[in-house]
Amino acid sequence: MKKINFIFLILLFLSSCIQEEPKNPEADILSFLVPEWNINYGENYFSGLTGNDLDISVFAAQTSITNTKIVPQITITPGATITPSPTVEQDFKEPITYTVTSENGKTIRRYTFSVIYRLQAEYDFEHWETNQTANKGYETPVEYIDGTKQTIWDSGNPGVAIYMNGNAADFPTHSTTVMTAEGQYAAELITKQGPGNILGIQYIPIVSGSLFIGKLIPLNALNNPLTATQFGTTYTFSEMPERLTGYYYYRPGTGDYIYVNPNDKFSSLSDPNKKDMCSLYAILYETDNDYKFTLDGTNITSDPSIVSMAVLPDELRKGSPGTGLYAFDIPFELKVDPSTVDLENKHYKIAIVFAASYDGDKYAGTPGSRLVVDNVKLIIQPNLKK
Amino acid sequence: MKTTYPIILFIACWMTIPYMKAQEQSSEKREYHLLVGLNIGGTTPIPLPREIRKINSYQPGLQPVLALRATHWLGSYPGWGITSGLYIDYKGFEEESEVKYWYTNLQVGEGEAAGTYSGTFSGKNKSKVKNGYFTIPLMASYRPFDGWTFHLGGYFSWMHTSKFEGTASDGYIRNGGPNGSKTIIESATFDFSDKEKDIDAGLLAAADWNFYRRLSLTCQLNYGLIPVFPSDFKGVSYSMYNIYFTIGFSYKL
Repeated sequence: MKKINFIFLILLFLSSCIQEEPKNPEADILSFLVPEWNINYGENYFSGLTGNDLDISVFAAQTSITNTKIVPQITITPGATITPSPTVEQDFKEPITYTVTSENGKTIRRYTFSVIYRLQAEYDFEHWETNQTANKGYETPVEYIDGTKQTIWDSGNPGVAIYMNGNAADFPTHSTTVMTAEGQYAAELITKQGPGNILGIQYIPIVSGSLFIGKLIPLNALNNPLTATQFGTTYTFSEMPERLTGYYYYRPGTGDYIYVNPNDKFSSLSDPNKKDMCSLYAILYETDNDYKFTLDGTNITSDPSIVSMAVLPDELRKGSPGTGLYAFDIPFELKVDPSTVDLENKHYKIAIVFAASYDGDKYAGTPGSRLVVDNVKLIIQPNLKK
Repeated sequence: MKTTYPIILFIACWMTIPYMKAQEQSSEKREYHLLVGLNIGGTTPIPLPREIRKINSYQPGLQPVLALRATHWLGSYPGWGITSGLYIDYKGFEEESEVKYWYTNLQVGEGEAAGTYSGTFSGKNKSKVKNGYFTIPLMASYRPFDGWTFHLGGYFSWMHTSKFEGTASDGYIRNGGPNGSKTIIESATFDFSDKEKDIDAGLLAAADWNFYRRLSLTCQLNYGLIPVFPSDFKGVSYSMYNIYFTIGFSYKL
């Protein structure tokens, strides 16, 4: 009896010590919608952004927008404030910046929205941006078209940054000046040793360098890593993609092939005989009216929504011929009945995917596997229009 | 598991022997008590930080205390004495709380490629703490009248076993802080057992009520003054102290 009273007293004591709730330090845009333009960016998308100055490319599916003035639908963190007011019409001919201040006043995030009508189809990997978070200076390539930035690429780096500190070159995906096709920079993807046990949730023996059109959403990266890679962005062309061309260099790592032990989630096995391969492909797939439907690591190469694919042949995925960058030219192959394709009225997304280890999304590969890509182009042919 | 047993045992013997010898000479002036009891309390930041929103459950667990206490009564000051001895005591509890924007810095992974997560966590936290100590008290004792003895002083402890582990669940982390990317945490585990300090020291206040022959009821407040984690440990961004009540019976030898 005495003990129970004691516990009660302690609980009472502790409860009475609960202080006033801290003011919300978060300053997030939670959604950005323009239904008229089929623009629908939700909480999942925004949850993946890091830093205070955020450039966001939103794709307008309609190619024939004449009036660029609109009132977007924006929601933000409860208690936070936003300027300019989202209820005021803005002309999205130019990028528009919204500033969100957290309830506690300590976090200020600036979101700059650029509405994109035409996707850049030529990727020279000359422009790289460095993540601004201290000690997590990973790089991501950005594209420009008519001076407007397009933030269409992402990599596994934001996932690695959950646990790793380092400079750009420490992260699996980064720019390189050592080997380039044209210009000063190319993209370099290296498979690295992983940290192992992540807080008893995941076991990550290796991390593959990866680069893809789409967005890495770390929201579910620990529970369901394959869904973190959200592949593809709005396909803005009214003609089919014909070929994927560019330059690549690939050498698998020389050590053991390492993979998660299928019988024990928290250990890895190694195979000295298995050779790593790279991933290099482009996929056009059909999405819904809101462009919400997105392929991820679970279905990117197998989903029935896939319309057309350009995949580097097996032999070339084991290693690039020659000693330097090798020019590739892969035709797209139609996966569906051509009569079902309607680029004018249906909605499509395009994804281009590079990885230094083809099973890197399952944390399998050989540390040291190295893929360099540069001057990649989507060749879009009017004569293939359906 | 700490490996300070031999040192502790040596010190314990060294401390006890003079008392034992003295007892033979003058049993009037010395009293020996064997204390058996339980510790109830918490290893806690004081005050509770704002980030702790709610305590869903608290269990003191079984935290035994076994102690040999010796009191030397001073002839020149009637009723006053000095108490010391040796305690083997456990301090621990289990709790589940809800936290918001809790800042933490955790080692992730192992070996060469191990990294660190730093950022905020909002969600549920469960902690299981059970630390075992060898404790040497030093207290001034006062017996104003028969049946009641009061003690006030301090203690010094060496840890012999440590456990400080738990889970973070049903929430999310933000990498780097409020402007970082969000990641859902269904259930993650942490183990800070080997990060704890090997020593502790603090204040003691105790009362013995001699209610039956050689038996006394003993209550003791142990108020730790040294944070259980070193200052360079950032897993918990607050200083946490051992605050425990001992309740037990002492038997006069």
